[in-house]
Amino acid sequence: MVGLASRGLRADYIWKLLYLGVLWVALGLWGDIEEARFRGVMMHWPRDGGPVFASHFATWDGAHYLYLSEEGYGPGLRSNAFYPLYPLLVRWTSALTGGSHLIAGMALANLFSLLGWVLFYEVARRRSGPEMALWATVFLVLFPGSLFYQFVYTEGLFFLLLMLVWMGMERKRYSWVCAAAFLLPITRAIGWSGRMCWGSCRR
Amino acid sequence: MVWAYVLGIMPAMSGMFTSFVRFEAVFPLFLALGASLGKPGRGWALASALGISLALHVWLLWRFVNFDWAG
Repeated sequence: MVGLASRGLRADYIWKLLYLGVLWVALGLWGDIEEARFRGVMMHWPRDGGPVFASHFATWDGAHYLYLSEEGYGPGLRSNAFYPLYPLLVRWTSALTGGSHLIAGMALANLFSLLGWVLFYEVARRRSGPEMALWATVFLVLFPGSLFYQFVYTEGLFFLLLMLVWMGMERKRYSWVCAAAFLLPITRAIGWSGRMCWGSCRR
Repeated sequence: MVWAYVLGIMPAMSGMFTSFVRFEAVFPLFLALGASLGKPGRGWALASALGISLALHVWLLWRFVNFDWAG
């Protein structure tokens, strides 16, 4: 099992390196940001000045999460709609990345999603065998919405917590379930449903 | 089933599909796809589904990083 998980981790890690590497090169060659589009969004990063190359990696909600990690919540902000756990972790981790919240956010998002994918493979393998688990993981990774796992979004953290709930329930490790189910609703609004599912399963 | 309903079907029936593509947390969908298309003799169906998924992924990714699509 450790060998399989280790191979899965390595494969997912290589996929992420290739993904971000190819994207980096493609953006470097063709990816100038139109100023009007950059200015047209509610929140952009960096907040002062025009778009820079790194703005490609902090689009849309990512800019809100970066704002929250850098400045925190405040009255009347649109960013208040976003949940606190991920920006808080980005803030803490930025101490390790020379104060760069963007690098911290990218690193955390990719680390969390990497671990989430490995746990997904593991629980699927235990339930349905290695071949089905492999294809299920490939579908998960290639799914169009999975692009958010690579950026400053909460999807990676949310999915990892969700997998901890699932794995904990399967292995009857209720301390994992309890911790993850507590953190889910402060990661994303839909996290309440994770707690609801746990509650229904306990009954 | 409860999880798939809450995250997959309920938002689709009650909303405008805004950000629906981000509901990749509906992981039972991928288990079902892996179980049905991963069987021997379904190579074309598997390759087609993965090819469509990858093509959409790349297209949406490019739009996303260029402020052209929000999810």
